[in-house]
Amino acid sequence: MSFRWKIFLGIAVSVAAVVWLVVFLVSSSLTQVFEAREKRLTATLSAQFEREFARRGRELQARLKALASTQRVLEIPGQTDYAPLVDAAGALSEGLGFDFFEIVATDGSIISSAHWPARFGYKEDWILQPNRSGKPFVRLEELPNQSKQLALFAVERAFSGSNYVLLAGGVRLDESFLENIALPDGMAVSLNRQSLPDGAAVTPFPLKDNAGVELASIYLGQSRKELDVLQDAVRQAGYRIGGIGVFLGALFSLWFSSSVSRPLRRLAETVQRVALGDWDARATETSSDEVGRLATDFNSMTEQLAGQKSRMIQAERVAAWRELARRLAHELKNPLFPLQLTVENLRRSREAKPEVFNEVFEESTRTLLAELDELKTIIGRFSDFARMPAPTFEPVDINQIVQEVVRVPMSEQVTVKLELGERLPMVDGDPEQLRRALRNLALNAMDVMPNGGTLTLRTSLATGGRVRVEVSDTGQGLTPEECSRLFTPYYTTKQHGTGLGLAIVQSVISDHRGTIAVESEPGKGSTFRLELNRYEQIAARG
Amino acid sequence: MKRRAFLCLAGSSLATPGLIRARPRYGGTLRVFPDSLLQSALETLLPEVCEPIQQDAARRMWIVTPKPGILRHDKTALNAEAVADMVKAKAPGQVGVTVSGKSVLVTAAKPSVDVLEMLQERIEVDCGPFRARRESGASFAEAFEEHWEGRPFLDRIEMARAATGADVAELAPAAVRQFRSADHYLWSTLPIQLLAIDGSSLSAETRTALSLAIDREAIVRFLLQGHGEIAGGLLPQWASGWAFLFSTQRDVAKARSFARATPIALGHSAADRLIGERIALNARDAGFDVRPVLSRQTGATLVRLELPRVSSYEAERAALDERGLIPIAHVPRIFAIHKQVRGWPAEGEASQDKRIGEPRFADVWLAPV
Repeated sequence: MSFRWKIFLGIAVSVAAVVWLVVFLVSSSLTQVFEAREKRLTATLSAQFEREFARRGRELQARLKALASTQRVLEIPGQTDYAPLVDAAGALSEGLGFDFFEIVATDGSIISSAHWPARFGYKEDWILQPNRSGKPFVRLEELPNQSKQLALFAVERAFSGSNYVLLAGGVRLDESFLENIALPDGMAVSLNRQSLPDGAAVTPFPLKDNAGVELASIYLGQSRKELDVLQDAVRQAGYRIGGIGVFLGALFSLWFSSSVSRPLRRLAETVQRVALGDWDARATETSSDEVGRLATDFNSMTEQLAGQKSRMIQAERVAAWRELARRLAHELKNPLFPLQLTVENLRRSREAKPEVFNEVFEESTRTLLAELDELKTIIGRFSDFARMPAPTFEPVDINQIVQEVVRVPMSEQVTVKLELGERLPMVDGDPEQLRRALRNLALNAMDVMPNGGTLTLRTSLATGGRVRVEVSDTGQGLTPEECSRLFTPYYTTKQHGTGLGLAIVQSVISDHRGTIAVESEPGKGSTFRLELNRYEQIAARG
Repeated sequence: MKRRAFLCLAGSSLATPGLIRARPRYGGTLRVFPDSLLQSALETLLPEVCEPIQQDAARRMWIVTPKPGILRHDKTALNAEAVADMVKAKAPGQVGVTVSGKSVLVTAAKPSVDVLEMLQERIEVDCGPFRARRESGASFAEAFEEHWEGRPFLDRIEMARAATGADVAELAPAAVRQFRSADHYLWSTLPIQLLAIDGSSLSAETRTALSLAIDREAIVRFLLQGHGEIAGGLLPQWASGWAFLFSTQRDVAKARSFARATPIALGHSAADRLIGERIALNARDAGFDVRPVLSRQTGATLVRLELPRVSSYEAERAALDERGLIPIAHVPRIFAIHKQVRGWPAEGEASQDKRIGEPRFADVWLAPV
């Protein structure tokens, strides 16, 4: 991932995280505020319920009391035959708003029931309990269809002298009862929890009878719609702000990353140029910040390295001349010494034994000629090495070069094996020099396998788009020390080698701005690995 | 309700001292309540227009002979062919019907008591003193001028909206105490109906348990307001003389000893709703789950039946078991009669025979205000 993308993502994630955090905190605060409001409303409504119950109870009680003082009711106590009264409850309670009304004798038996007329004579034991008089209460009243109805009941005594009957009146505690309770907006109350709106916060109010037994509950539903709307609004605002933030962050990060990464990118390009050998490349020092200082330091470092390289080249050149002089002296010394001896022997023979001079002369001239040939050969080799021309670059099919190299007759004892990569790019090089370098490597490999073996030439695509060529043998291999000195001119591991073969190879590869390396272990053969630039790279660079 | 075997109300009203004092008057509209009374005015059964139905000893052949000179409401003569068509329509394919001269020969493949009952009680003929009419969506009965016994006194009989607005209103026993009118007097028949549970779909054991669980005394005393008699058998004591042999005692403990049945739906009419609910309460005391339902299409049904004909205690006991009935009470029919209505026996004027029959509107007339 590029530096620019990293900056962009970092800013975008930061903006989104901040927006989410703000939305979360605002939503949490809203929820807390609403919950506190719900608690206050719930407490208020709880008190309102109690007041409403008390009010309804007082109304109930008052109606019963008024009924108990009517003449028609006062005629009931003391009667011995209740049969004519079997439908009295319905007639007496008509229009008084009772859902339940019963006239009960002092022993608890029903004289008349308005809501269940057939139930006369049955006992209502609950009505005789001491806590049933004076204060309204909640009870579950059984209905003819065997269901039970929650009701608010009150009991009143109707006296006629010392005789009395009990009047029990009740109203249904149902949804219509609850409809009369004033509720603030967004609140609902029901006896059925399922009838409240989905998502409402529900608070139950237990309804207990006088004995404290819970009979049912009234459920108060606090709509969370307002909170949901607010939270939605906050979330929507968060999304919008987040989206805008991410968009602006993207623009800012693009500008910022561009301004930050541009000097770095230029510095990286300069580094790449230096790496490719352009020691004159210099980074642009556009600012005085860390990046600017880095460019300055890089330029300073490059200048120092260029100087060191120049000095190293000078030193190497001196060393090379010294080595060349040494080798030249050594090479020339070897044939010169026999030449000197032969000339001295010839002179001594002419002075001491003139009779065999001719014979000696013949032999000596042959020797002189042979040594002079040797001298010419040596000089020719040096001349060849010195005459290495500059390569003429053109697109080269490396696989074709390799195939041409192995087409030259080689030892019959050596097996040649080709492993050529497919769809390799063209190499930027001089085909003649590359052919010569590879032939040298192949001949060297043949030389290290006098008893036969396998010569493998392999081509493939290397990292960085370069083309790799490997020449492997199955010879005796090289020690690490031999490997380190292998490309030194005039160093040879062979008895009759000049030590210039691999130096020429290295010179060719170097002229092609490629690399050469050797990998070897004693007893396991050696592999020479060449990496050459593809044609486009050179073209682009040039 | 269709039975005419008992004495009619006003057939002999002209002979009563009260009517001797006043001359019958034609014309006027009689308002009745409820609509069942209007239906009664329109109904005429086959025996009323025929000679006594003859039956052979093997109970496989019956001879029905229409009386001569009777016109139907469409003013065609009621002859043997018309009667034969009526019989065929009532019992298609069940009996053989052949016209033989002025008579109709009805035959059955095997001995039957049901055919005679059908001929006597289920075949209505359109030859009555009133014929059905409809005007502005309302039904009423109109006097049939060509009635074979002569035109009825009333021009028309129509329905009233409430008992207090009717000239003749039949009251439920529980409503008698509440009915208050200075212009009406009450008149009741003897207990001529059996209030019972038709439990033919219940097991005999369940019927026994329910019978033991029902508090008949409370039903008669409170819900029927004393207008009726506790019943353990099909016939009341005045009709059979052996009714006391049937137990009517409530024994909840014994009822509980019987196996519990599955929930029982007890159908009832609107008039008998409280009785149904009371029975359900009583049954619950004995551990039964009886649910009163305003319907006739239930497993057990609260019914009011005409008194059957039985000749002995054993026959009555057998009939009781065979029909799967749980008797509750014998109840009278109670009417509120407007003082303007004549031809209806006044309280204390009617003999016992007149207190066990259907009202006969052909004899009723309205005195001027």
